[in-house]
Amino acid sequence: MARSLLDKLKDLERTAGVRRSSGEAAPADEARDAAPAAQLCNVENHREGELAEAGFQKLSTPHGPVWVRETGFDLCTSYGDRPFADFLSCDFARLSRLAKADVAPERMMFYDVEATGLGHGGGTVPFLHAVGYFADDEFRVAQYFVPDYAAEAAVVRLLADRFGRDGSVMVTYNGKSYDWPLFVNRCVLYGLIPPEPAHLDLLHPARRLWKRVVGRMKLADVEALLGVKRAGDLPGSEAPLRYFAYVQGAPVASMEDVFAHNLRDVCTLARLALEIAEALEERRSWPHAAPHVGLATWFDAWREWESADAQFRRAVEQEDADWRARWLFSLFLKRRGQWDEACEIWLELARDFPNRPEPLVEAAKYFEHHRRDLAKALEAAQAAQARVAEESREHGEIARRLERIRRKLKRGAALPG
Amino acid sequence: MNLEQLLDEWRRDPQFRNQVSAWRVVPARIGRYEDFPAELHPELRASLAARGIERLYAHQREAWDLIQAGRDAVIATPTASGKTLCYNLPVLQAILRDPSVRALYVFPTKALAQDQVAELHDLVRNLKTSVHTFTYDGDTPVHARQKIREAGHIVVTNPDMLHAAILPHHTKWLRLFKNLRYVVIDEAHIYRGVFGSHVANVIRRLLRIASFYGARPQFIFCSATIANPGELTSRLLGRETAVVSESGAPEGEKHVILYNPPVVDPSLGLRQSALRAARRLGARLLQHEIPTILFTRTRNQVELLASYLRRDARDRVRSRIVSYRGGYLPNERRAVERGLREGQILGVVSTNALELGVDIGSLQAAITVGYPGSVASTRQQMGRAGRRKGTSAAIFVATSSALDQWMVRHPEALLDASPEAARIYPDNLLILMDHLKCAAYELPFSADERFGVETTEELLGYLVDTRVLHRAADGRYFYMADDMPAHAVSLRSAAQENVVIVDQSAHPPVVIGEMDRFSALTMLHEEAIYLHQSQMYQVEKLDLENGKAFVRPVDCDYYTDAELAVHLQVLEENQHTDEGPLRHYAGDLAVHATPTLFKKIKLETHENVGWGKIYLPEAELHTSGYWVTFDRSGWSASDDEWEAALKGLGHVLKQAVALHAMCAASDVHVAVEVRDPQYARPSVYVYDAYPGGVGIAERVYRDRDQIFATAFDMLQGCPCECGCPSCVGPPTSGEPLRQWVEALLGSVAGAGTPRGA
Repeated sequence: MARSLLDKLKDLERTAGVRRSSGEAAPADEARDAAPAAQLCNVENHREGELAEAGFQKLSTPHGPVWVRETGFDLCTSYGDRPFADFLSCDFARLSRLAKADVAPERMMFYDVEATGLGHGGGTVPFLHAVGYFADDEFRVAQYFVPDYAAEAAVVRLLADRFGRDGSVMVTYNGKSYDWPLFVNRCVLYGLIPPEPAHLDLLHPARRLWKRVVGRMKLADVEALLGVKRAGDLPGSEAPLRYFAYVQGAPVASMEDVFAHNLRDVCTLARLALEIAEALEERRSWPHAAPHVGLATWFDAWREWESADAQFRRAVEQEDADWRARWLFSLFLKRRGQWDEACEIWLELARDFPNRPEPLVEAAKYFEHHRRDLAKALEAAQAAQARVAEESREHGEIARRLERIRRKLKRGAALPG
Repeated sequence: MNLEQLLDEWRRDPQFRNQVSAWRVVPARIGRYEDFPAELHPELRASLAARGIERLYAHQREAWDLIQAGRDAVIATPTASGKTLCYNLPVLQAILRDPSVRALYVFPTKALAQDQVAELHDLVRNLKTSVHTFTYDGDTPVHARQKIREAGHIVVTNPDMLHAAILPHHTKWLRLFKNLRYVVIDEAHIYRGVFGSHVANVIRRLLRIASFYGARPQFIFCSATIANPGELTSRLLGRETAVVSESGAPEGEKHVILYNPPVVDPSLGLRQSALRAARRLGARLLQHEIPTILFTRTRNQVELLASYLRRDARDRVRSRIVSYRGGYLPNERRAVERGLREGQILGVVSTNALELGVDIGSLQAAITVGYPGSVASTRQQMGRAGRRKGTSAAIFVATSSALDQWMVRHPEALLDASPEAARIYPDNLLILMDHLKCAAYELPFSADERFGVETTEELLGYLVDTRVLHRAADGRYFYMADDMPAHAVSLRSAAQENVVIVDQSAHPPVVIGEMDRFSALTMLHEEAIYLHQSQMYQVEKLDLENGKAFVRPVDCDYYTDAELAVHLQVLEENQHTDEGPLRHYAGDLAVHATPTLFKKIKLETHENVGWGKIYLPEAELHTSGYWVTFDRSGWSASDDEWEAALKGLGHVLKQAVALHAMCAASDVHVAVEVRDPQYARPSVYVYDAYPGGVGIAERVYRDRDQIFATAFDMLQGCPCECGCPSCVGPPTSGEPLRQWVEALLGSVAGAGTPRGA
């Protein structure tokens, strides 16, 4: 009558309706065939052969073997609409400013991982690390693969050394919240002190430039802007499942799509870095206002007034120049003391956006304090007041302004001349 | 008039005295003190002095010595005896000596955590060295989290955050785990039953991670008075704990009064309602401006009693009477707590929400309206009245339920007997498997690693088979799914897949409760009447697939009672008694249940006013059970009579089990068979409502004599004639149901001589 523990467990899970996650299987009824040790050994050899066939090389390290596949691209190779060689002619001064580090092609490491899940806890394992770099007239991508969980330590140690080299600049896409914390987790788990390279996460500048143009900011969405076309690409969520199948015996060929996906991600990273560097060097233009506004606000913050001015002008020239582009430009002009031009924009904005009081308030200030044209100031302030709700804070502020202008008008009328 | 004078008046008033079933006076006790330990850090000494503390209570010193000797300890002294100092002192001492030291404080709720942090801040403020204490819970802003992980000497959190946020992300808490010297677990008595079993596994995971980083933290538990603080905390921790239970704090004289409201209708044995009696007593206390707390069982009663008391009070006092319960906003609750501490508030009516260690200072009088479900809980409530100096009074007002009436007839059970033991069952297979997955996510299991049970390796193998884990080339087990397992495991839900109860009339619809699937079959079928805080709801739709029951409040004069066709299958007999007229068993059961039809039963008269069919699939529950079989020839009666008697026995047994096992009556189910297919004898089954069992049935088997004696006693004390809902259930057609059950019970070993009779 005694039931085995496993029978009991099976019944319990079935009757309690235990939820299974994506990769989980229902328990098999027959017992597992325990593979004899010798057979395991053969399997190991077989898998190594497979990896070698797939182009992976076995590096011996003091902490065990590391499997790596290097793919080189001649600099003349185009990726998207540009050859890698364009990196050599690009000026990275402003990108360096953005990265707060000295950026140069030979220092950059483009890093992207594929992991067993999207979480970033201790159990999410990056099983494929790709590092893109420039060397020997090539753009090279080294893909470090973890063929078994047990083989991870050696990979992490090797990468920690590599990332720790002086002057390295890590370049990622969303790496500040995903790829890098995952790597740091692994370092901690293997008792290593995580390296601290300079880190440029391209997601943030890309978002400032193109969020309003492309909407979603996944790497694939940005690729369209770079002339990159991907066909038959593996959906990212599929990668963990392929890996789980692989560690349980599926042939390495089934991982090929994952390797390819990862390789392309790193190439796109490089292409994106070039795009942003050139944009910062003002060598790009778009038929949209938003990217130019994005550039202008950086330049403004960096006190590069001429560049900021030029970018704002390009922005407001665009057909889709919206309230934000024009309004930010007007405030820029105001700060720069170019009042007359700023006022022109305010009056246009007041006309084009009949519900917004802000441009009229600015105009009223300008007429009152700079042009000392109290009649026009009164007119603008009154028009502004008509656009705000009576109970609002703005209403009170405008009322005080009106009162002061009227007082000044009265005083002015009392004075001779 | 002060409290002493009022008590004196009551004592001399025969009308009052007639209703008192026990009046105990616990004499005042002077404090027992010890000097500060010589090694106490000078900064701490100075900080304590600044708060007027020049020496320790004996139990604080005892705790100090144990902890300095490296022991894990549990402090189980009464409310307001200065338990927090017992852990704050050693923790601060360690941090002052070595600023890299870290400590983790775990409180069951956020509110308690805030309270204790406030007290800790008081102590820390006067130190020269800066000690950083941070609360890490769901409310902690994201930008502050990084700093807490790095800089917090003391991190304060709750078990749920520990389980779902801290442990899975342990690499980000490197500094905490590497330097973890102390783990403080306050209100440990809360961690019982299913919740406690989960928490024990969370602690296993915590220990595993700490050990990975080379730390072996010492544990300090605090607990309210329960029978087995040492056993409970040893089970929670998996290591022996030293118990400190003798308080050295001085206590004023305390009166404990058990009050049974007067009989208003002698022919029916009907008593005045407990709420009305409490109103009368509370009004007297408040009239004399004696700070008083009143505990009721439901939120509705809280509001009702508070409004009565305000109505009865003079203008000056009226505004100083408030209510307090779950469902209030945190800042409302904080305001009440502060008002109580500082004395602006004179009277408070509360649910057991205030029973927990929330700091409200000490009041002069506490009134408990109705037995709150456990002796420990009653003592906690009574402990809210009690002062270092001066008199205090705690009054228990009984309702007319069988359990309450049993209590007033057995004052020793409430006042002298040791309070219930809190049990946990960390090795419930389902709970264990949940945490095994979480643990594997956090760190791979090595081949020979043990997680609580000896069968760890078998269980890991099972998870490999179901492709949750992968066995790597080096023999270690790695988690292999793209989700985070902790997110799918709730520490507080009774079963994995509960049915949530949604009130559709609210906008937007709100969840008002949850229930395990098995109980849902009989309680939440379509057209069932569901009672929630005295409000009646009718179930409109039961969506078992998505685990939702949609209800709408109704006003009707009946309740529903579903019939469940239960088929029990004994999977394994683990223990049994010898052959005889009665035979007791414990083991594993498979329960197959199909609800068939429900009856509508009129509220006051219990007459059957209609019925309906239930269309739901069969449910299956695997769990542990206790069962007893009877000799058919011991009582000559028809099958129908046997069935009615067995059911009646089950009804009263359930309450007795709840009393002994410190669980809710709904934590167990009862089923009967007149001709048991396995044993060919009449039998009664009591089994755990939680899949896999949580140890209640085993306990029933072990303590069956006591439980049957209590059931017998409850029955004898019930004022009804031949059965009522508070004892054996109402008889269907005037048969002497109660007498039949008494006859059956009388035949059970040990029940022949009810104790205290």
